[in-house]
Amino acid sequence: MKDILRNKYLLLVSRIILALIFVFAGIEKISNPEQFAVSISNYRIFPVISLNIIAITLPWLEVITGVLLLFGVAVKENSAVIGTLMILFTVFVFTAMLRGLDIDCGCFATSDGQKVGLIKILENIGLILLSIHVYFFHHKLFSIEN
Amino acid sequence: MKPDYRKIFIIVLVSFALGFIYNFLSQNGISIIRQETEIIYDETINYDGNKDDIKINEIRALNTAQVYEIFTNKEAVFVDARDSWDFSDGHIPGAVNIPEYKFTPDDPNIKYLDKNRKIIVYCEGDQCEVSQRLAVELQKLGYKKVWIYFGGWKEWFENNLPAEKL
Repeated sequence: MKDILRNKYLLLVSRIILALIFVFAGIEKISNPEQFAVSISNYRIFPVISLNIIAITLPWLEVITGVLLLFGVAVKENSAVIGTLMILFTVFVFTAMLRGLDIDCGCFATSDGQKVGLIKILENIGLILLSIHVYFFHHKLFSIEN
Repeated sequence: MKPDYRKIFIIVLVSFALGFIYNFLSQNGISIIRQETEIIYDETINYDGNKDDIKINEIRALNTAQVYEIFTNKEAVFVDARDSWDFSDGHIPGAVNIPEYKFTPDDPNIKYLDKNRKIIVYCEGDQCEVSQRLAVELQKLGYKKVWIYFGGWKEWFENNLPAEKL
């Protein structure tokens, strides 16, 4: 099992999938910050004054970590940030589910209508596993870092 | 091997900086601090509600005194947009509970709403937006005489106005 997880090509695939998802998710949100702010407000967790600050900064963190991960720069650090973000997102989706909120998750473009729900949580867990994989078994294949 | 926390700090800092710079330059930029929804109190309604030129999504609000007057005159149906748990804990007497979070156009309680009567939607109070969203949904269904009581249950309760428990 460990040999499979250490396989450098498998690691490259994990890294690229994770990176591309974050880059695309981030770009979609950057293009429409107001919509993203509304999506965040739907979770009813964050105070109103913080909504725009999150909507302005978070998408860029997603894009930057995604791009750096794609090119293999600071892979360990970026996969740690992405993994942490994914765990937080999953917690928020889960609490929204528990409170019975029927809302768009705001994960990608808000218009795609992905609802908060079990499928979203399973997707998120998949991404968490990918980031754990990349974090612990990182191989320098096609990486810029030295 | 632990990650280099200094690198993480730099990555986060640079991302946030780029976010603020982009937002400043972008046409779609938003204000850094979100303004809370501005409430426009309806001063001119004189409670007839017969405005046919009302636009959908227009939010008309009433204050506690206005709402109480309508309440004592039994001029309106009250709609409680909170969930049934909050509703059963206390609500404006006679209010109909239509939880916004699971609202569908065939909600069983919709039948209690008469299109010719005034409808006042409220929720917990302050900035809870569920009453706004529910009002918009009702407007889409053709209800024109919809107002929002932003003070909500909180303000009603604080003023020791009549309450009903299930």
